[in-house]
Amino acid sequence: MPRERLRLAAAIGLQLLILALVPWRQLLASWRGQEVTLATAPFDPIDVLTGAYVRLAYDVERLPPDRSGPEPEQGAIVYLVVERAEPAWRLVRVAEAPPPPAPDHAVLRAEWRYGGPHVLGAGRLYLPAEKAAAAETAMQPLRGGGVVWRGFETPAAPRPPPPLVDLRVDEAGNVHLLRLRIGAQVFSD
Amino acid sequence: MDERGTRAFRAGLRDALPRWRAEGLVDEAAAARLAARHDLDDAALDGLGLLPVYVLAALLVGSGVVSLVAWHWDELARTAKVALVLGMVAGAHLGGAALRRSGRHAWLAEGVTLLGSLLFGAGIALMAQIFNVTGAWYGIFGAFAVGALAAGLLLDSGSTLVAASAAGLGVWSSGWLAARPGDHGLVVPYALALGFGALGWRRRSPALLAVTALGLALASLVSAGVVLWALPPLLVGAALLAVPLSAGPAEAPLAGVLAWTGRLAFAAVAFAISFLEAARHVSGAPRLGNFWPARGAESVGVAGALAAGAVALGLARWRGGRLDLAEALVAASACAVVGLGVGLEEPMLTAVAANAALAGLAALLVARGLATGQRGSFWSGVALGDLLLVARFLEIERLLWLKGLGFIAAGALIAWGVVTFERRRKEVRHAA
Repeated sequence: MPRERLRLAAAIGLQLLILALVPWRQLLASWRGQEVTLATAPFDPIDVLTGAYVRLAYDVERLPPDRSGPEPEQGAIVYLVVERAEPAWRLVRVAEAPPPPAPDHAVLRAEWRYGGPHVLGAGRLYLPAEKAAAAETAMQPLRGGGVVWRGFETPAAPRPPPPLVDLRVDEAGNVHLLRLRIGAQVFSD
Repeated sequence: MDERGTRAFRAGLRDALPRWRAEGLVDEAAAARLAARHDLDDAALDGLGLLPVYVLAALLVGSGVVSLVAWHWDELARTAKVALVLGMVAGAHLGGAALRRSGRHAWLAEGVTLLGSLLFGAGIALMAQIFNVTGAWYGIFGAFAVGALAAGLLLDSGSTLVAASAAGLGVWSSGWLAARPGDHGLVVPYALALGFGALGWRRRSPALLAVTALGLALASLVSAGVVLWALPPLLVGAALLAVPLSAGPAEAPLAGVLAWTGRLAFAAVAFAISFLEAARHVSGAPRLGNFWPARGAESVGVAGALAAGAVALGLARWRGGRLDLAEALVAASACAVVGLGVGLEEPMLTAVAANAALAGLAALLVARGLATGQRGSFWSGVALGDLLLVARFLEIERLLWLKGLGFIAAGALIAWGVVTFERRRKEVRHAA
């Protein structure tokens, strides 16, 4: 193969490889992970680079106020250990390294930012604009501050079921977003 | 140094040779020797001015393709989306290679090759969308820079390298530094600038050098703390202004490009702090005693060492060019005084130093234009002087007569410039 063709093949091959590596954590989680459901509080902005998406924050990212121990540095990687519960998995503890696998437990890789953990790779669900708008509409009755209904509920008020997100999670804490469920409605790309 | 001469010189020589031959100024053998020595058959000399048109056309075609794809994007299966992304990138690169091989459309081939890498950048965003990948916003630019750098080197594409430098140094490293307050990541933008700068110098690419120099100035600005933001880009600008001092005649065109970029960065930042209110924000927190622990002090230290090194090297190897020397010294001294003003919490000192430096630069540019007959230098100097004058008089709120006089003076300066410069230009051309 002439030298020029080799160089062309190398240039194309490298760019395609980078493109293929963009979702490598998602692909790993998709292939070898287990399915986990988390309670969420979504809202929908627009990203100029990538289009419409639903931004997702999770109940497991909210640490109990009486949590003890040193606070990780800004930008540090931490692991949220969650255990199976209904309707959504719940937080057990925050670890500095991924713990060994345990039945009915999963670990979520997260970054410590602004005083709390944020699950990596699960912050946005990209949707076609129409679906994003529909998800936003479905969310309207559930709105109420940072967490759905918190601060607004009264003892007598029935609490609507929280929106849920299904993910696949592997043992290293990589996640792959599958779908958003708001009541009976299911949103996925 | 490329012994063939600069691209502009070669293009001009190629245009002039047939005329000289017809007028009998050179014989056929001499014309052939000149053509061989300066490689006047080089296809790269063809249609230089058409490159932006080809790049624009390639961008429009690419946007059209992307729009057509977006038409039914949401309805496509994930595998089809991925195949489309990969196919568009590979297709554009293969098309560029085919055009290059034909040897007839060098600049069109360059435009299509650049398009391949731009589609690769768009592909990163699309892959992130398809697989719900989240991350820091500047990550896309970092990944793009890696792929574009590789493609630029492997496919010998200058415009792709310029895009890689803009994305990697200008955007990614700035975003990366901004997200890491207090982090010791300064080595990254300087290493990138060194790499892209060396590449630009070796390829004799003014565009790559200018974009790299601006990227470094931007990254140095971001890397500094809130109070010290002005000093690093001022110092980088001063370092770039000192490059022509140590450059020989052969390197003069490239050194000139770096100096213009440095002048632009220096003047932009100096103009911002020439306002007393802005200077007040720059001066303040770190006194001399506790300057070093202040956030951004490292950035000031590195940029200061760069400027000091460039000026020292320039003084040691100075080979003429008094205006170059004067300009470099004006910028370096202004940096020192602004630094002192910041350290002493004296906003007036900072503002006066910035104003004096800008006035000095304007005067030197006018002098350079008058001495060489170059319109660009002269009018840049007049524009800078006028901008400074107008800015200062705009700050006057009560003495309206003084404000009026200031604007009249600015207008008169331009009128004087037209008459004086054009007369002087004729003299210079006649003398030549």
